[in-house]
Amino acid sequence: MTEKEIFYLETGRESELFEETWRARLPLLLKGPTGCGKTRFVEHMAAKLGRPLVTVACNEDTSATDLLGRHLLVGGETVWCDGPVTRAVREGAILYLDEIAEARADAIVVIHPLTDYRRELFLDRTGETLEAPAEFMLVISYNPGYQRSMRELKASTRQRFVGYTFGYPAEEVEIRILCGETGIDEAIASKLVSIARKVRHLTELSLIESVSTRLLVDAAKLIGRGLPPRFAAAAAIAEPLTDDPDALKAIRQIIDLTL
Amino acid sequence: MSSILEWEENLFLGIKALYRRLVVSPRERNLAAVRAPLEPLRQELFLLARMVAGRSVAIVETSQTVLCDDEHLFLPSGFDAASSVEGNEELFRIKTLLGALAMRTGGLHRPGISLEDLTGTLTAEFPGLSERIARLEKSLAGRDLWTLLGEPSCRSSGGEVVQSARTGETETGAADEEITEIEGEGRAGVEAIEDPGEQPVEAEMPIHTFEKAETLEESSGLDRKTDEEDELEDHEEALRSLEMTQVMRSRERPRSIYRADLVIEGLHLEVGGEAPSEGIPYPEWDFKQRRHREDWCFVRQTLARESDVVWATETARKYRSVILDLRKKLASLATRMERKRSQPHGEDLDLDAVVRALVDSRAGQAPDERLYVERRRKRHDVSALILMDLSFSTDSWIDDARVLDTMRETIFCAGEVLDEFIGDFAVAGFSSNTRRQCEFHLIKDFREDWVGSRARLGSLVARGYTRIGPSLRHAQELLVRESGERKIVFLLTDGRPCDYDRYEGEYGICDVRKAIETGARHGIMTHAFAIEKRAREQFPRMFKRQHFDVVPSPRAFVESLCGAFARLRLGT
Repeated sequence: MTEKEIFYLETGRESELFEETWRARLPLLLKGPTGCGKTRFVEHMAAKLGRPLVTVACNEDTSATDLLGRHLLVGGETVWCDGPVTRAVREGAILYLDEIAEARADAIVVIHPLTDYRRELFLDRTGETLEAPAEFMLVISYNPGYQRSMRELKASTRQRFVGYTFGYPAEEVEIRILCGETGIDEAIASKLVSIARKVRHLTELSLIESVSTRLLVDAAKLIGRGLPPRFAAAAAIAEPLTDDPDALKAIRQIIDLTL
Repeated sequence: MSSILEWEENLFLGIKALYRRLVVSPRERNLAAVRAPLEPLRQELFLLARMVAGRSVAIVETSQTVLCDDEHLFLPSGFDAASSVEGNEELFRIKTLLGALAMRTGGLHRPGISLEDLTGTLTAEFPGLSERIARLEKSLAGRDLWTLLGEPSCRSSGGEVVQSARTGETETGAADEEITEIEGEGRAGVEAIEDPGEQPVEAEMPIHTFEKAETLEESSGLDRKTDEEDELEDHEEALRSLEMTQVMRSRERPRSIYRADLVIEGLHLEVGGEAPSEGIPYPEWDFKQRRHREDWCFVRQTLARESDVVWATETARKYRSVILDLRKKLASLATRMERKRSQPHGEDLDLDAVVRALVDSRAGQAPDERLYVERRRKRHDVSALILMDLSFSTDSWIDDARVLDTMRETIFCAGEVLDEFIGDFAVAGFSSNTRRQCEFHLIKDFREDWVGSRARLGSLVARGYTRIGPSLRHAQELLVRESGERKIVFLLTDGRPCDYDRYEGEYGICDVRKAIETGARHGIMTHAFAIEKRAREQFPRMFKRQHFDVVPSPRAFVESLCGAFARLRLGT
């Protein structure tokens, strides 16, 4: 884990909430669109609280086995190998399950005993029950707008968590994030943010996932390395957003006119 | 034709053709060579306008040189003022951009300040703009850019604009096909009177329309020209105050629809006569007698032959993003997990394989290394039949779109994706004209190739009534023969069961419910999609909760179809 402080710009009172939730030994649910800084925030808080961080990016194939651990065969013997959740509980780490709603139902159920007063983890394959130490904290994230109607987090799971919603940062904050993150000059940063704010209007048409701050950071990094701004912005903003040829052309128009 | 013309006329026509070929055409050809049409750019321009304006924007195709009004951006069908195709395309982009800026919330445009002056204030936001405008002006060969673009209009959009927006959106229906529809208040105790000039039921298609016996002029004093014109909108006010007490059946095709729930007295709709010789007989549920009427309806199955490839290509382009979205979502739903033993990789050890391997190695043999259990995705074994309502009521408009168009575009999107995930599916349309003539119009049979049959959707026409029961029973009959582990009928309709011979109200609803129950007993699930919001009243009585959705557009259908699949997967 990195010892140095991680750049993070507060957009609300999230740090305060995180810290108190951690002290109260409650689990935390972070909501928000992709690339709005959820992961960065958790990294920042883990460093601030001086705890190791275990991150698991969940996908639709993530199963209970992937999280808890499995038996491996070594030289004719079976050997138990801890999964990331088990390891995090043993170490008293901050466990971050990213996009938990994507994981399979059995994977979501195994974390249930960790989320209530028991704070336990039961390993059915080894018959072991682990009690989470005081420093352990479970943080999960999910993106409510993404894959709507099918991958919703069940109410029985959600209600175990303290929740916080991230939005896209305000214009000035987003400009400061770009400058702080990449050292780019403010004029370029504000233009990138102006492009993003226009393209975000398209999200209502559900044509594209919206422009995340992360994409802007990527564009700023490329521009900072000396690539021509229009080229860099097209590559870092337009291309990752959509494959639709008309949408691509329209976004490029905005980029060409602004930069 | 020309043989009956006088020789002078022939001569004149000949000279005119020659003149066109030698003088006019080259000039037109030059213009045609540099002309940039709106259509291929339309979606790009729409997105551009949406981003810049920051609110909803509609593009209206018009020959007037107006820039925009509060909601609409006016663009011509093509530009040919610039000396190159690129220049004319640029003209479209600049017009869109400036129009969107003028429409932007807060509004840049104030009376008395020209558009040209305004663009000067935009350099901070769009530094590239003035350079592009300068380049564009050079390619215009002396024509004034600002005249070409037009000024923003202050007037708000009128009915005429809405009309042209409609024709622009749906290229399938000709303008004169448009029908205005107004929702009226329901009324009970309406008397049906015979039109003296009207023959009673004939063999040809009866149309369930009624003209108000007392004319509108009498009711309101408005001057009404002819029945052929679509002027219902003008009469809307008058209609609102209309007392619907007597109605008359008419065989004419409606130009305007005033839709109201009426409880009609003294109307004999039962059609007598013998059963027809052709068609597959199906029973129908009589809810009053609480029994099936055996061999009551006769279904004729036909296979669609005509197709419209242009429509298919256009729809594929128009809904590209919807189809991609649907595909992405169904990818995870339309498959299921399967445990495979003795695999080289996997999540768990296969204990049997481990024991075997240990025995082998103790016995001095090379052990098999495939020791794991792996979970794999497997395609669902589903047979599906998509059944769409083709009745006349689908020819009406809801929210600027014809119901039939919305339905077939929806099915097109579904078919594009189902083709990939469940190989075994069929598409059919249905309509009826009394119980003796139920049409089951097969658009894609189970064995047919989707790509080869999808264009048939484009050539569908609305006809007849909505007798849902027999077509549902026939669809179930076809599905029973299929091999899928799970079987489902997706039913798309715009409303309620109704047919000429009293297949309506409680009777129709109960029959549909019965057909669904019967299907369920044979393992065939029915999921209904309604296009109309009014269906919210009728649907719950026919379909169980969670087994129907009301969808306003193909895009909303994506969500619904995924939900239906999710439930299918869970087996509920």
